[in-house]
Parts: sequence; C-alpha cells; structure tokens
Amino acid sequence: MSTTALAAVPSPASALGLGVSTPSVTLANFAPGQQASGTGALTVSGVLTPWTLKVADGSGHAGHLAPAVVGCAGSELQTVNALSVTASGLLPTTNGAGAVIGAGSATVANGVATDTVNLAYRLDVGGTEVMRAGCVYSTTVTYTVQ
Amino acid sequence: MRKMRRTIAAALATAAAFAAVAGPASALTTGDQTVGGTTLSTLSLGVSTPAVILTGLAPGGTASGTGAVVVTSTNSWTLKVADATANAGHLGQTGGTCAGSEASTVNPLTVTTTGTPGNTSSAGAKTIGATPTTVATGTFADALTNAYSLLLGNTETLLTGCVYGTTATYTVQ
Repeated sequence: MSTTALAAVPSPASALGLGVSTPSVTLANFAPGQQASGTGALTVSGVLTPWTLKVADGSGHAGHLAPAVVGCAGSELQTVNALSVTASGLLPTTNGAGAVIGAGSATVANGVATDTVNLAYRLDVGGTEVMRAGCVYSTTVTYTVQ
Repeated sequence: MRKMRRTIAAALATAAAFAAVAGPASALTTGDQTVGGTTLSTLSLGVSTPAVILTGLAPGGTASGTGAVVVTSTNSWTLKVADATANAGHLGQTGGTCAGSEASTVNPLTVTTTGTPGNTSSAGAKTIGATPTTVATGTFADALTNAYSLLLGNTETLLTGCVYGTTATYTVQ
C-alpha cells in the first residue's frame, strides 16, 4: 500500500515557477503624440495544474511611467496614460488577454502547461504631454503566477 | 498485531511525504519587469480648428473669432504665422453675393496666440502679413489659442451676404 502511494506523489517539477526572460523592456517611439511600444517575455514553468498570470504595478506609479531624476527638468511627473499589455502564449492551451496596468492585479493569461508568455506593451503618449527630449521614463511591473 | 502496526506507520509516512511535496505547487511566484523609454526629439504642429468663423463682420465693427493649434515638441520652439495668399492678411471675397462689395478688407487680421503660462510665451497681438511673424515661443508641447481680430472701417463697402476670408499659415520651428 505504501509503495503504490509513493508512486503517485507529484514530482518537484510540479512547483510553479516564473522566469523573467526580459527583465528590461525598452519602448520604441516614445514621444509626445506617438504610440510607444515594446515587447517582453516570461516563462511559466513546472506546471501540472492550471495557472493564472497576473500583473500589477506596485511601484506607486500605478502603470504610468515616471521620469528619471536626472535629465528630465520640466517634464511631466508621469505619463498621462497608463501602460497596457497584451499577453500571448506559444501553446494553444494558453489563453492571453489584454489589460491596462494599474496598482491592482489584472489577469493577463492562464494555461495548463509550461509555456513562454510574450508580452506586448503599448503606451499612447498625448500630443501635449510635456516631455524633454532625452528624458527616460519608466516603471516596474510585477507579474505573479499562481 | 506487530505486522499491523508496521502497516499503519508506513501509511502515515506516505501521507506525510505526499503533503511535503505537494505544498510548493500552490506557492505564489513573482517576477519584475522594468518598462521604459527615452523621449525622442519631436516637433510637429496640429491645427485643431481648420476653419475659424469671425463674428461681427460689418463696417464700423471689430470682427473676432478663435482658433486653436497644438504644438507637439520636446524642445524649445517658435511659432510663426503668415498669409501666403494674395490677400497678405486682408480678407478677400470667397463667396456669396459680392457685386459692389470691397475686393478685400482695408485692414489685415491680427492674432494673439496664448498657451499655458510658464510653458508658452505670447508675442501679443500681431498683424498677419505676407512675411512670417512670430506669435509665440515655448519650451515644450502645448495647446495654443489663436484669438483673431479685424477692425473694419466705417466707410468700407461690405454687402450683406458677401463672404470674406483668407488662409493663415502657421509654422513651428
């Protein structure tokens, strides 16, 4: 009886894992009046059960990009609009979705197997947003898989 | 009896092992991603109101109207205006019933461009002519208001229903 039960024990590989393939994503076309965009990727691994991937910005910017301390004098304290992201998996069993990133968690994907999740970021920058050329804007988004 | 005790002990050990392995599968896993961009140098001009209607267009009055443009810029800029048509800032006949009416207004248009204080500096009221004239300067992007004014003389012959107009061209650099 004990031998049979031990054979059914899940392997340690069933533990969820989240790998950030691109820790830093650079948005191209970042300027007033433009739509800035960039791509990143994550890897959800070690999965034998359904998983859900959520995103939130806990940095205090709530999905908006903030300027660097240096080189941004006179620029907006943050972008008017928040980042949006659209997730998509390589496997057909992974369902991706789009979300505007905010302080609260938003579901961007779910699946049942190990997969790479591609992330397409977009930010619409208004034509009258006050930004100095060369100023670097950024924020940090946190993904959670469970 | 002794054999039974061993079986129970083995079963308990199995259950404990199962729980210890299954635990990590429900743990949260997080990862951070920094998303950012470097502001590109840009300069462009948008015309929010392609057509501006002047009210009060009659002899002895002051016709006025308001338009808007948007300067999208990440550097300092200068906005100029000129009338490149043959009217050179005066309003010419563009339609309606105008037989006997003045071919064009005696005075040219003036415009006062304003924007966000601290960002845009207005050059004040400027007469529009064939040569580009600076109407405002600024540091960054801004939405600007153009207040037009045209003083009409008492003796100008303007027929009711005659439509007057011209085209002012703005340039940002």
